[in-house]
Amino acid sequence: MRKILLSAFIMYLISGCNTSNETKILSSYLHSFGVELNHYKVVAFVPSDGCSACITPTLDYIKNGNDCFLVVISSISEKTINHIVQSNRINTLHVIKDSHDLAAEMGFVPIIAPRYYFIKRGRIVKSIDLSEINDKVSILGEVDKYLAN
Amino acid sequence: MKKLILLFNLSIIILFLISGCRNDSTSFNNTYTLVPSETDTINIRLEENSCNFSYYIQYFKSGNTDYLAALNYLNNSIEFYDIKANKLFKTLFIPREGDNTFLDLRSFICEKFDSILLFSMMPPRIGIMDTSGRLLRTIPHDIKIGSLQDGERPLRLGDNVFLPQLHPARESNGVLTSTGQKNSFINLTVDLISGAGSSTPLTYPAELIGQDVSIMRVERVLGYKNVFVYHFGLINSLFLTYDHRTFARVPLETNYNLKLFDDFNPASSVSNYLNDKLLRDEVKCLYYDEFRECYYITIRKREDDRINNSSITTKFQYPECFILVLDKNLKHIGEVHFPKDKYSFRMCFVTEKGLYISEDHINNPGFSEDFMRFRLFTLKRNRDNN
Repeated sequence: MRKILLSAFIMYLISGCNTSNETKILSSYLHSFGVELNHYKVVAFVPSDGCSACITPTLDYIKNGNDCFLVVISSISEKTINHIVQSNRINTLHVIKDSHDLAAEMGFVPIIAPRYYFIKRGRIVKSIDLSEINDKVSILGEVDKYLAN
Repeated sequence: MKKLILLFNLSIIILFLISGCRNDSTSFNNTYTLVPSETDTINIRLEENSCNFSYYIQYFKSGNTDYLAALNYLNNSIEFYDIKANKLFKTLFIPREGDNTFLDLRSFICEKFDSILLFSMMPPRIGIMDTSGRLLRTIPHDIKIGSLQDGERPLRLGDNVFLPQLHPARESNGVLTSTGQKNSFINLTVDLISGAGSSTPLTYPAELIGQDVSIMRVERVLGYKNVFVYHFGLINSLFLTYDHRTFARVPLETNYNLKLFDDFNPASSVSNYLNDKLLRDEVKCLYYDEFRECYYITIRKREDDRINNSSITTKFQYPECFILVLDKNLKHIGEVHFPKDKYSFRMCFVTEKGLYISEDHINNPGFSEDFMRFRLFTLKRNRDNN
């Protein structure tokens, strides 16, 4: 019984370490763009070369202009990012344009679809990778609720 | 007993050596190579919304001018570059709204400026447009066609265009059944005059039955004496047809230890699948050089190990390739390997002078999104083979 409890505790610690480590890396990544993680409740990473149907709902959602919603658009092409921003008429106040694709290098952004990070008091509490689920839209309802709380 | 074991071992060794010799005997001479020109380059300063990477480019000559037309997927336009003058000649914006929309423009064929053929997948149709952007005609069709990028390009012969048909075998989870194979017609032929479309009888080769073909690429080119040359992503051979009824099969001759993707079973995630794919070689594109009567085949070389997810996009957009050179009968005459991270092999085209390859690899020093650069490679006989 003791062994089971000990293993469970170690697993808890490990998972705790992982979470805080990811938070630390995300925080440091955003900091390099002059942005503080604890200012936001949701951070969405958008691969600009992702599939159109996968990224469009997120790009549309940005237009709602919530101050607690941060979007990172990542690509190896600065022109592609600029085009996405212009053609979708995105207000760049809460948008990071990562034209060195550092987000991909650090594992924050999947290849074809966005990933959402839910933040509470400057810590990642959950992440959802849209490339692993078919429905690319219902996440936005969840984001709505989370931002409203 | 010991003698018997010794004899057995000896026979095994001899058999092994013989098989080794046999492999050596199938090595091919690199009679020809591709030599980069020191001076013949293209260097064009790009407009703000133009890119040095396009999923679809086409070279053509009109009068005395050499044009390179490039599909700009960012703003749904076709850009025509005068490659001798190193400048943009014209941009043709394709409507994204209204009745004449070609929102999902995937490729085009431009042989004359007065009739540019446009191809879209959603809705699936062909358009004929003039250079003023006036849509002269549309020809709808209801066949599921390929992505029309790179080697899946539509081909034109006379008044007919040949579109590749896709058979992802969804009804059988991507696995080609014998019934599915019988209906896996590979060509949709559209008569540009009457607008009539029909499938030609040729289907996927029977050896694909039982294999997962859900996302198999089918590359093709119009070659010597108008032969259609196909490559099916899982098969280490080329398939030829003149009549679209029967195939002749020609093994892909190379000294490189080619290992094509043989399992399209879904991996646990997209990145895992793509990483698996990178561990295999891939035939990217077939080019026919009508001036020298030979073929160039770009083949992406496999990675040794799985790579960081962040590099996957780059590896597919800027694949590390070698070029296989085949004569008009698809016999090996050379293969050329290139320095790493220098050339962008998804951007190649053939002219009277030779093969132009883009130098806009993202890791090439001097890479700039504001310029489009190509270097000419000419086919030369190797000195050792004189």
